[in-house]
Amino acid sequence: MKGLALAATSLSTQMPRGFLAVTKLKLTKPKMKMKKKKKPKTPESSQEQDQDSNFAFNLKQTTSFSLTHFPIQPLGNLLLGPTSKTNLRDTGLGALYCLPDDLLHDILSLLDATDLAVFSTASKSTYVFSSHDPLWRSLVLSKFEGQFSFVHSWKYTYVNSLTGKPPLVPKSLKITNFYSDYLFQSYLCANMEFKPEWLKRDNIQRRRGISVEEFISCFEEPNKPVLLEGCIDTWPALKKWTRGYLLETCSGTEFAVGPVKMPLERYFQYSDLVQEERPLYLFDPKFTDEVTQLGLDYDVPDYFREDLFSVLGQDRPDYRWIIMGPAGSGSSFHVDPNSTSAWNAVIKGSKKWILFPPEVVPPGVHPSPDGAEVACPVSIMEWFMNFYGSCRDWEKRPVECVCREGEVIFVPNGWWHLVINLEESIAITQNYVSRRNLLNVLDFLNKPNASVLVSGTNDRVNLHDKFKNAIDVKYPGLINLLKLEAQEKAAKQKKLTFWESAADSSTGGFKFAL
Amino acid sequence: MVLLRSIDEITVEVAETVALKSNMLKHALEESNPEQFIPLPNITGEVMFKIVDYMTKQTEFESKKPQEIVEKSPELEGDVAKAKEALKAWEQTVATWEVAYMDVSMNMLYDLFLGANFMDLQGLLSLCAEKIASLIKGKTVKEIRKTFNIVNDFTPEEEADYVKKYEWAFTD
Repeated sequence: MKGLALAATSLSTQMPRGFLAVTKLKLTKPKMKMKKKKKPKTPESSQEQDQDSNFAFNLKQTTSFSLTHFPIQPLGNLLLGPTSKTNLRDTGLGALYCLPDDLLHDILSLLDATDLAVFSTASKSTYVFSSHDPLWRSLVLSKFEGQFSFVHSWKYTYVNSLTGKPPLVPKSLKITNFYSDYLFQSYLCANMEFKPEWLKRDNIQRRRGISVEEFISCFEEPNKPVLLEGCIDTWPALKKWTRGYLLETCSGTEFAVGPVKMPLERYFQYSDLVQEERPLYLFDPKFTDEVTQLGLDYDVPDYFREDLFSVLGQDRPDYRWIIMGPAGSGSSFHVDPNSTSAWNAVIKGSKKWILFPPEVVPPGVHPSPDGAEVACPVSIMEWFMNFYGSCRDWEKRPVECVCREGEVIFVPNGWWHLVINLEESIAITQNYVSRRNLLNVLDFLNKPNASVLVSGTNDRVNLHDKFKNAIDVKYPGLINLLKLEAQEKAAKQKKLTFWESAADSSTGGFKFAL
Repeated sequence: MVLLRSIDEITVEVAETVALKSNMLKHALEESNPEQFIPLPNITGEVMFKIVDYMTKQTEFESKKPQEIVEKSPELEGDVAKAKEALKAWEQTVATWEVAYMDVSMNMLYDLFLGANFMDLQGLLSLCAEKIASLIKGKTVKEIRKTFNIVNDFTPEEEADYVKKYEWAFTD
């Protein structure tokens, strides 16, 4: 959907396109002719109503038709308006009107392109549902995989890729009084600005130039996140990784993007133009194999040099990724695999992070009891709209920050985290196991349902034994030593708790200093 | 045993293992008093029986599912092949049953879909979605309108203009 768009820019030239940089949204002019529709004067169809402060977004009701845009309104507009209105959605669906939007979407997602197109010609309502761009994204990806040239929208891209010609625009299609929360919400999330107030809180600990020992004792050992400044200043990548350089160096290579693989030029073509709720994210675990030079342009910061999975050599699970994505792309809440810790360095752009400690499940997230699955049905934007506000004042409130170019965030093992790119961004992330979480990792790999839980490798069931044996070979006695230390620590803590409880108000509240 | 009650006050008793197929019932059971019934405010008796039928049969099928042999060693090759055959046969049985099960009127189909949604029964949700999709696949727009009683609300001008837009879908 292209109701609103910023002029496409490249990394190295103008102001990067993104949420932060926006004060005024400019309308671009796609090649097609757009017709201006008269702005409706009735109050219930105006976007400026403030029944719900959530709707005070910087999204202007567009006043023009495009290939896939038409005025879908939220259900509230219908329910709070004059009662004589009917919903075009319902009148145009026949018997299907009784099904909620998400079930309708599920049905349509089973159709191929031809059937979807035919279905769209049945009525204005079926047209609206069939134009929901995510449906066409699935169709493009399954038919063309990574070989598509993205133009304007997924539907446009499909027709263009299939016929070699742009799709025709219906000049006279008039659609009014169509109300649907599901479709409206999706459109809103795809096109709205990231609210400035969501960026206000930045409560993470920041450190610059600390020693490795200090990092370990203050953050890694106690398992606390920290944002490290200045530790990647010497990375060649910071200066070298312009778009031009990357295109040249990675020419001919295909990177993992969601379910497909694609060359960088195609990905940039897509990421420059796209405006959707869940943009495709370039996330590749084999980038140094594919392009050796990239691996030479960066270096693991000193804090994270201990990398015990390396004892497995080629058999180690995936552990390093290059990440690229446009504004709005990112990862919704998850815990990193195999109980590892991670660091994430921003080379270009900026990311908003929300982190919750392991024992606090973020609102809106539903992990299955065995931990194998995490259901987070809402997109990142929708999470911010509907859940962020509620947890800001929790006692166990999240740790938040914006991580910018040249900064590295440490994500301790087990911590929930959500990341959203505020502008086009490039980052490198690595997961690792050090002495501090070796025992955790072994426990995790030893779980009875390891076959579903363990990730990043084809050998899930045996990974525990392989890893343990390899550690015993390279670091004999280490595991036992760590176990002993852990037991001592646990005993000490118990002792402390006991002595603290011995001090109560009836005896005057004394405490031994331990 | 779990007691369910439909909107028209018809009750049915199901075994707990069967009831747990529904995520909604699973959560309800964690909270409610086992003596009382669980109300299904959106579902009539007829639909309730149909859904219970599905859950019961699924539980039965699950209990009869042949084990897969994962170990890949030469001695077990014969057994691995046999296990695969058994699994395939089982899948065929389930599929055949499902086709017969889904042979229902349009009204029942919608009610079943809504009921499965309310009770959070993933398997039945998929079956319903696929059934409805099958009524669209390969059909002309006229047939689709007829199947679902959809009224064509395009003006002739809009329709002519619009169908042109999807020429590629109508020519093969």
